[in-house]
This record gives sequence, structure tokens and C-alpha cells, in this order.
Amino acid sequence: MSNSKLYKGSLTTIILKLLNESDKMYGYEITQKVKELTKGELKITEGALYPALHKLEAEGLLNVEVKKVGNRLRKYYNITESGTKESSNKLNELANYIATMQALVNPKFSLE
Amino acid sequence: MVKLTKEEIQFIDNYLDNSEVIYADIRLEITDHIASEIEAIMETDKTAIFYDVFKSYMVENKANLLNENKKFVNAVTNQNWKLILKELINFKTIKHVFFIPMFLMIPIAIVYLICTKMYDFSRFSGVERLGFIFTILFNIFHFISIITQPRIEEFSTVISRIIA
Repeated sequence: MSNSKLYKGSLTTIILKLLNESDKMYGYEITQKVKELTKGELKITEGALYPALHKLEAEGLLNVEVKKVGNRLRKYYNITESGTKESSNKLNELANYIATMQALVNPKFSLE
Repeated sequence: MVKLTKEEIQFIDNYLDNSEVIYADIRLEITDHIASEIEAIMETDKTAIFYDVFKSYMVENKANLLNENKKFVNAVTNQNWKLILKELINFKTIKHVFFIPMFLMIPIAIVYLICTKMYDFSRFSGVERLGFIFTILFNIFHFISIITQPRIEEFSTVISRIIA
């Protein structure tokens, strides 16, 4: 991930979330989807993406399927049942993190 | 939609192979990634030629890609080691691998010790040596049988399905 180290810890959450929303995706598709959703703000590099995918696969959160597409083979990833559970856990965790950071960086003062 | 030809895909694959991306499963994924990227570039610029796009892509990303290749392999290797360790430390494995030898060998050893020490039975070098060899062999064969048993069962179900 070229942009910032801050994004690095959220990569698996992003992957799980995207795969949770779609049937199956391949590596390049994930990078493009992230680029599209963030309007080019976040570019996931191959170097960060594939090791993360392999790790999730090894942990049993993702399943792999190899299909012949046109002239070449393509590795598709889809989310497993435990991956779906992990995905909602991670999203909660991330939401908490964002709220905490917001409170630190941009505290709202009130009279309460 | 621009699609790369079989020869062009093969070209990328060979290039990666020569760049020490030796594992086919990893190469498959990187080849697909590069091909998708090149197709997307060629889609936006219809006059672009494959080799030019490939060359400029590689100039930009080669160092990154090869670095990644190492990372790929390391990530997979680490995961595999973790899985093996997890499997070995797992209670079920401990039960299977050590349970039977412990419960067969230890009582025999205790009985032998009691006989020789308390009742002063004579010790025989042949018995002890054979016993030692027996223990070692028993453990080796037991370990092999644990590892191969699921495979043999799998194999026999496949064979029985073929016959039936």
C-alpha cells in the first residue's frame, strides 16, 4: 500500500468487507474496486494485497477457486462462514478505532 | 474489451519464470494481475502495443514485483510452519501420537523394573536390548501408521467407489 502506513492495519478488514459484499473476486479486481470506491485515494499494491490474501486463506477465512478465463488461469477468492463472522468483528473494531481517533484528533467540546 | 493472446500471456509467464518467480501458483496470480493491468491500459489507449506497455509496466513495477515474490513465498512458508506446529501441539495429535505408546510401554517398563529391582529377577542383556529396539520400532511404525492411515482410508474409499 503506497499511500500511508496508517492504512496498512486495515487491509484485511477492507478485503473481508469487499468479499463479503460480492460473490467472489480476484486480486486485480480488488485493487480496482478499492481505487474506484476511494476515487483513487487508496492504491493497494500487489505486494501488500497478495500476502494478505494468502494469510486470510491460510486462516480459513477465504476459499480459493482457480478458473480458466480467456487464455489464462485466474485465482478467485470467496469468503467462508468464519470469514463473514470475522468481517463483522473487524468492522466493529475499525469503527471503534475511527471514533477513538476522532475524539483524539478533533475533540468536540460540550458543556456536559 | 482488449484481450491478450495466448502468446502474450505466455510471454509474461516466461518473463516471470526467468525473473525467478519459480512457483507456478504464485506466477499464475502475478501473470493474471499484470495481464489485467496491461489490458486495462490498452483499453484506454487503443494504439498502444503490448510489448511497449509491458516494458513500461515492468520498468515501473519490476523491483516491487520481485520483492513481493519473496514476500509471497515467505508468507506462505510462515503460514505452513504455523499450521504444522498447530497440528503437532493440538491435543488430538498428542493423544494419537503419544497415548498408545505411553500406555503400552510405561507399564511394561514398570513391571520390568519392579521384577528386577524388588524381586531381584535376573537381568538379561538380550531382553533389554531387544526391548529397546522394540520400543523404538513400535514408535516409528505407530507414527507412520497415524500419518498414512487417513490417506489409506481415502485411497480405499476411492478404490471401492471405482470398483462399485
